[in-house]
Amino acid sequence: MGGKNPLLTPKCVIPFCYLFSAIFLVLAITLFVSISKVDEITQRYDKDCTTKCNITIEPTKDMLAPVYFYYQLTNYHQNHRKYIKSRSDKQLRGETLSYADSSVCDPIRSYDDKESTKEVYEPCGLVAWSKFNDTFSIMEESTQKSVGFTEKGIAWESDLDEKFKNPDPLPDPDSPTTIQSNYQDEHFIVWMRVAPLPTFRKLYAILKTGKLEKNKKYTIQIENNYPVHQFEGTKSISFSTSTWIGGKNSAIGWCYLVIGLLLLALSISFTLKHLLWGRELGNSKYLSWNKN
Amino acid sequence: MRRKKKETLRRVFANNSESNDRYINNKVTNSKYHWWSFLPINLWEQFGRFMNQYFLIIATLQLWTEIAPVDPKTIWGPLSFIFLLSAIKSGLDDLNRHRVDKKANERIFHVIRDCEPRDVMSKNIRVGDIIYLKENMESPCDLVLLSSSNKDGSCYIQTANLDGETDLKTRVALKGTRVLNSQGLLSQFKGLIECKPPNPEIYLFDSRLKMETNDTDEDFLSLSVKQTIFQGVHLKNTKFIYGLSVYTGNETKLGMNKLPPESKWTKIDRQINNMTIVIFCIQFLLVLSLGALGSLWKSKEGKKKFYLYYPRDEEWYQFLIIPLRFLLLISLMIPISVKVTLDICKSLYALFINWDLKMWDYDNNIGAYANNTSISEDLGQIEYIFSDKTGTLTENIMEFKKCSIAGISYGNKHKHSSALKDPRLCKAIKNQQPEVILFFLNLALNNTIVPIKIKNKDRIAVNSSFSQEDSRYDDISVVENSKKIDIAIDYDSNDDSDDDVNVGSDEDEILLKLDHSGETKKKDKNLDSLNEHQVKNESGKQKKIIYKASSPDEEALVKAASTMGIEFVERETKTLTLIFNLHDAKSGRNKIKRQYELIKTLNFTSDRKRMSVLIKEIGTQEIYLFIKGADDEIFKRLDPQTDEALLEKTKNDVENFARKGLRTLLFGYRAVTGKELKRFLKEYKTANNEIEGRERELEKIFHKFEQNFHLLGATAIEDKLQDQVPETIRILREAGIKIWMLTGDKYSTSLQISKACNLIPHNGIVYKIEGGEQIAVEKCIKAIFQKIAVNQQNYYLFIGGKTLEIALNSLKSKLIKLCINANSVICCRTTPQQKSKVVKMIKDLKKMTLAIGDGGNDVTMIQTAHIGVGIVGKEGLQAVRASDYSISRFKFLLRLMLVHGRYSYYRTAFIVQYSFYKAIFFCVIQIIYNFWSGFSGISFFNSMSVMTYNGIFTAFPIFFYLHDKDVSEELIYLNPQLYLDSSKGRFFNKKTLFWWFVRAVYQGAITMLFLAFIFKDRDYLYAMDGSGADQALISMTGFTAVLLLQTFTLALETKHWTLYNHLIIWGFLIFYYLSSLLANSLPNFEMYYAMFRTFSDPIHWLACLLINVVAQLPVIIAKYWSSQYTPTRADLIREKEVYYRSNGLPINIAHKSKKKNLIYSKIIPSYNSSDFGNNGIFDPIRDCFGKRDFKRMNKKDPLTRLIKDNIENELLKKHNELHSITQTNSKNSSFNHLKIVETDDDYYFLSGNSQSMFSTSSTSSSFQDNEMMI
Repeated sequence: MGGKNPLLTPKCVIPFCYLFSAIFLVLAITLFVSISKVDEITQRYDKDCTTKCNITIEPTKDMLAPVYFYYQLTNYHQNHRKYIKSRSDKQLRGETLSYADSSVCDPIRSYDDKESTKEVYEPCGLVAWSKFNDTFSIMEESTQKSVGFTEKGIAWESDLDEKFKNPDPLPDPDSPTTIQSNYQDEHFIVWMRVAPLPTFRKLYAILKTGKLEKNKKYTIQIENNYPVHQFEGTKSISFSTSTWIGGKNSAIGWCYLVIGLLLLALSISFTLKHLLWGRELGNSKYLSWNKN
Repeated sequence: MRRKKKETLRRVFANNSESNDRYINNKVTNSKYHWWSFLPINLWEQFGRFMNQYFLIIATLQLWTEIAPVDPKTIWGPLSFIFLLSAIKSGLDDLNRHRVDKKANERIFHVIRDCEPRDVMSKNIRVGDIIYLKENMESPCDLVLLSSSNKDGSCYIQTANLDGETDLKTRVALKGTRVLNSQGLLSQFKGLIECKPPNPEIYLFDSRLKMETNDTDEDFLSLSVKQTIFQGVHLKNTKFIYGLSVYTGNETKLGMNKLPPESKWTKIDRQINNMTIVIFCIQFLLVLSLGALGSLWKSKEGKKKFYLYYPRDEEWYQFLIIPLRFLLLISLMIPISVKVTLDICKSLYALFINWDLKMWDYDNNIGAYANNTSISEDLGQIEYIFSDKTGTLTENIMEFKKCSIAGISYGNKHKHSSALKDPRLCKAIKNQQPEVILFFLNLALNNTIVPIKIKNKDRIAVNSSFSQEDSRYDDISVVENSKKIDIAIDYDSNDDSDDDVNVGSDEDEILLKLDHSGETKKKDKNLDSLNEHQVKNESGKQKKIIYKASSPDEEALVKAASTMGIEFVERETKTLTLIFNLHDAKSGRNKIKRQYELIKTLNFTSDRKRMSVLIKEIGTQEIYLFIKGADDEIFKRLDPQTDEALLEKTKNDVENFARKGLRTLLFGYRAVTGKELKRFLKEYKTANNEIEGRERELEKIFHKFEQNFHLLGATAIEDKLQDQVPETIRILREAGIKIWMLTGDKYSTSLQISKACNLIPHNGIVYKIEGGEQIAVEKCIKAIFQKIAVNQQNYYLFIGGKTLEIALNSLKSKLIKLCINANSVICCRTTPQQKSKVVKMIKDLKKMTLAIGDGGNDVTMIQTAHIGVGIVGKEGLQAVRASDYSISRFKFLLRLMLVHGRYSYYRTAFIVQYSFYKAIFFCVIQIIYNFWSGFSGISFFNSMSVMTYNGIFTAFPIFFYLHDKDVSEELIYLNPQLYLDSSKGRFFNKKTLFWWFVRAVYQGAITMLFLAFIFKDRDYLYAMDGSGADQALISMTGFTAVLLLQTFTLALETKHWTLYNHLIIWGFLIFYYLSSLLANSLPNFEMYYAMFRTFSDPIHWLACLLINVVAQLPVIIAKYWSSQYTPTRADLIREKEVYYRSNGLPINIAHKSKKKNLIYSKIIPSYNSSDFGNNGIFDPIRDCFGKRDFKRMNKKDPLTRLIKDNIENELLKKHNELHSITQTNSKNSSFNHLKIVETDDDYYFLSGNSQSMFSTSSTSSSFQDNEMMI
């Protein structure tokens, strides 16, 4: 069988380095340009907030729709093994969960630890049980009029369609076994999509039309329910616009820039090394030890 | 079945099966399992493996959902699959063994049991049965010879299966029993034999026989080895025998000499095991430290977090949970698939060997075969080869080559020509020169050969049924021929005797034999003329003479005489008949029949080293004493008045013959007067009647009588070496392998052969360890040590069997020291057990050993060595059955080791290291992710990813590494030193493992850190709908990056790219994308819809690109740098190959066409190429320091330079006579113009390029001889 035996020769390695260096640098510049167009306002609110408080923000530029409104938690381990596993997707799809099957929801399994299917929490599990319950409403400070943020369409469509369905009959909101009466509540679904890292943002509302105007003050009315102090976490809110790579993700831009420069340096040094001290390819003198 | 009580004395009653009931039957078993014991034994064996125990524990722990990171199915599925596969494999292997056993056990034999004749299967033969054996049959068990077709109760046997000696031995029945040569008489026989319990001594059989069991007065007759026919022995030259079976089944001498089949582990297997243990330790440490961190985090942080809902009081076992979770999470570090992957790869290596047409023996239509499918890598790791001599290095065919008569040497003209075709000799015969006639008379008379006439019709009868084969093989050598005739005799006896039984089964036997002989047919044109001698007898019928010889040398001599016209046609007890078929000046050919009376034969013994016959010519009444023997013995018995010049000339010739590796014999004669004869016979008679010291007395008389000879001349016989043995040995040596020869043959023959086959150079210093007692041996060893200390040179060592035994028992450490420093060691006169002891001695030094042999006497050695190679030879299939690999010629060993061994090792080394690498890499990601999840033991990847990563995406593409090669085959032949890459373990050692480990950790860390950096908190939002990063998304992006990384790693490590590689490597990537999109559209999956989002997210692609470049960059740089600036030998050779190929230069001609391939292959044996640093001398400094040899090579060592220059000068001198193959390298690079150019000053393979790739010194003779090198 024929075949090729590629070699890592200067002729292929050095151009390869130059090529990638160029790609990386171009990408880095593109990224930085795109990122610079993204506007973002973030403000912590848990420190000075009691049960209810207002926060005021003032965009320095016009923020055109879509403007995304997030809440952000830190030091919150949604990815903790105990937490992440404590849910029943079956139940969330609207099926009835027997007591035996609810073991996946440990430790939030059934009301008063009763071993009965009827007593199983609806929905069971730590994730649902610890749902974030602060609420926000965004108003123009001067007019006290609500800005057109909508809380619809914040969850993945696929989740709404397939993964989260209300059980039949609907859980009784007053029952002690009911944790979440509407499984298709989008805030709930967003929360149920666990975050991979201990600092995370979750979408709360979207401004689909219009804009947040420059030098205009906006008030966010917060109902502060969720406890974070005991585990040294923080809570913030954030407004952001987006571009083709998403939000203000400068990290990736920096990565590309650094690697691109590194590649460039490598290419140049390889070229020099090859030109000054390179060796002839396929020359036998390196193998036989007495030829000059 | 087995006796419970230990047997002290075995009493065997003939015709009384009841009293022999307690002994086992003759069933031979080599299999391991019965159908009912298969499952338990196999499972027990599988769980005996550390790795399997480990996996079982892990899999059991997985069932505990609280600690299982992923779905338990992901580990149980593969595990049971692996167990099943392994069980099926060993089951099939055992089934094969059952089949072979069955075939052996179901041969039908004719026996007499309980006074009745019957036919039984071999397995049902019992102790006490009287067995009827016919010529060429193999004895099914150990027999005591009772009678034979000969009146004197003698028979001939061949014990090759037992001790490897192919000459015929005689066995004589006791006087009392030899009359019982018919069924009728034997069924009345009520004898009793008392013998020792079963033992493995093949030269000892102390027992006694009583003719009548009930007769208490009768004395016992003593039996010795002389009366035995052991299992596996073939009956020869005797029509039939009867024998009483004494040992059966696995209790026979052969059975006791068999070692239990031991499952072999390759060096890599052991290394994998060690590595597994190391990784296990690392794992344990990681589990402890991560568990501790996890517990710490839990008590410091976790308990503060309400959403984790830690209860105040916990169950007692809770402290175990986190460490156990980590244990399961990183249990994948020891890849479960590695064993199965390796098993499959190993089976494929075995198939590559079986399919290899370059190891196909076209003469016999046998290919190589791997009996053991699991140890191919070890073929690449061999440091010592132990070779049998006869039938392995040599053809086991003797050929009369040269002679020196009356000071004239014949057959000298050409290296390969025979004296028998020398016109000067023919002329001498024609002129009836008296010395020449006497010389050939001596050849014809002085032997123990029995000529046998064959009626031509028998031969035709046999031939006609197999004419097809005959027409295919026109030239058939001596051995086959005699086999054919043997069969003819069989037919004869079938026709004649009424008491013959079971013709049908015998015919089967014959067919089998014939098939076998058909297989071992060998073309040999030189022998052709000697083969058949047809004489017209009185009635004008064609008759044919074949010679039954106990030694192939004698046969060669008699045949030589016959070719020259002095034909030995008949031997009666006292009369020898010759036919002189000489040219007469007047009437052309003239036949004269002459008869001689054989007065006395003074036999050949190894002490006497000579043989004489006392002959009286009937008619002239002249008495002659003819002598033949070793040169030293004959020279000192010559007439003192012998012509000095003649003596000098003959001595010179003998020396010349010996130097060519021929076996020499000297011949002399003297006339004896009647008086002298009378005195001698009288003395002989008195001496012969003495009881004490008879031997000594006889020797004294013989010595006195054998004096004053006239020198006739000398003969030189070639024990023909197999094709390309010297070249093979040379290349193997250059590959850094030590080759020892272990033979049962005697010292002088071994020495000659070892010189002929390049094992010892002609000027090599040979030391012989001698001595029959410990003190003497010790002294001898000491003396050799002193000599070595003074000489400081390469030396070669000879040890005899007895001495070896003593040295092995009491002077082992000294012996080892002496042996391993020797260039080569030759052990002669060794028993099978001693052979295996020698192998074991080296094996115990942790050296990798390979034993190669063809006979039953090599079986123990073959089983002892790491790798046993059996040669499909003339001595039965024992060796092949016991071996791991069977080949048909010694030269194929080269390909087996250098190509298959090296590649297998190279590939396995990669596959193993890669398997561990990818597993560790995966686990590193998992571990690092836990730093962000409170050390909770979470899996970053979902169950699906974990399973498919190990089970599909990384498991399958590596199979296509199976045809990867770092250097092409031709270049390994040209640079045998490349074998050191594998034998020194350069592809797989602590260093390479360390770098793979670093690579895994680095790439794993890079992957996870970059992922976290890019997806970190607030910066990330999904461009389409603004949602933040979610676990499913980051994990799938990570998984895509991981698979891309693995794909590129495989691509980077593939050195030989073919279409398949492209298809598989890139195909699997496409397969991944498609399958993940499919999985993504199934709502029940965890990753439902996540892939659509992932793939439509630019961040995903940017992350993958970034991670891959950063992860692979250092690897590429390291590879580039090392191959450019610190290249290994393999790197440079590979580079050269690629460079030449890409320029259309001739390295690739071997691939292109058959014709070119042939020319190419002919160059290989004479590849003394200097251009590749391949100067024919193995240089340890250059070759043992892989990386650094590039730098070292440029330093000019004065000594090595001297050697090198000498060789080059020699080459230059030589090359004027040489043909050169030149590749015209035109600018258009139309490289198909290959032509053979005869030039004076250009013997380089390439013209027009001063730095040529190959220089060839291919001689014209090598064009004929070295047809199948690769």
